Amino acid sequence: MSDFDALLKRSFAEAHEPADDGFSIQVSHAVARNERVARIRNAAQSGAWAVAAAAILFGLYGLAMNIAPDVLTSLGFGISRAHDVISGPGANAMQTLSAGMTQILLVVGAIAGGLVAYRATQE
Amino acid sequence: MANRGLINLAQAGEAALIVAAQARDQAAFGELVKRRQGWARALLRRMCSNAAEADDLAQEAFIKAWDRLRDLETPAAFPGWFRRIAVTTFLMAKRRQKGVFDEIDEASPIASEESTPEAAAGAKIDLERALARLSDAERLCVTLNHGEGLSHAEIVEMTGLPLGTVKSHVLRGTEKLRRMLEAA
Repeated sequence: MSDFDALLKRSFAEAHEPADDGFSIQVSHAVARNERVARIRNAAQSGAWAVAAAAILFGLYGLAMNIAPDVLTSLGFGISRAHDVISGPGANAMQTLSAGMTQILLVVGAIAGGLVAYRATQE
Repeated sequence: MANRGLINLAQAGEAALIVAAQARDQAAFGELVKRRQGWARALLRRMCSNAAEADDLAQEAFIKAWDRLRDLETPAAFPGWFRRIAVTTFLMAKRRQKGVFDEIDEASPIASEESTPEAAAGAKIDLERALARLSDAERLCVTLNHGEGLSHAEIVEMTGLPLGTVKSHVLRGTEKLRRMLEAA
């Protein structure tokens, strides 16, 4: 290391450092402000998620109220037919069971769609 | 309030302050800022050569540090970790200002003052004023190399500048400072 490099290093080491003229207070205030904003943002986000979940549940409830009677009827009918098939000879059991499945699949699809929508609101 | 349950801020070591700040203790972080502000602001003032801008960047760097403090693995690594944040904050500010940064050809020429051979071992230089006469890139590289003791490879890793460019900036910056000292 040359003399000049040593001098330079010493000059850096001995160089004046600014006194705390309110800088640290300023930073503390900025940090506190950012934390407050973050808390408000998190609360707003939680509220939005709750509203989204409520909307999805309400939608599912409406859907269920519309199709539930049909589903229950078909389900009962399907079970009855399945029972007949099981107890009676020569019919296609799978075809019969599938008769009541359409509505069930619709409900499952609606729930899955609701979950996807909920996930999308989270992101 | 200095006395806070298990941790007395005024007497706590830096490691304890960092651990408390990682647990989101704002008062502990405030104490850490109070202790480190001189070093951080001096570092950024040398890189910026504009005290007001440097203080703004130092504040930005401390706020980033608060946000990312959980990423810090050990309290002992704080100085190097914070230095990296400070340098990144400085570089981002320069890029926002569209500062020319990595073109060695566009670096300011070496001052051509008539030099008088002195540079006595005990001499001191007005560092702030001399650094202000370097280009942004030279000032950054000289500060990190001579002031912070980083190697060329570490500067490359921290700034993303090519190794040859870093070496050139350090060499040219140091040479300019030498000429300034000799001409003083």
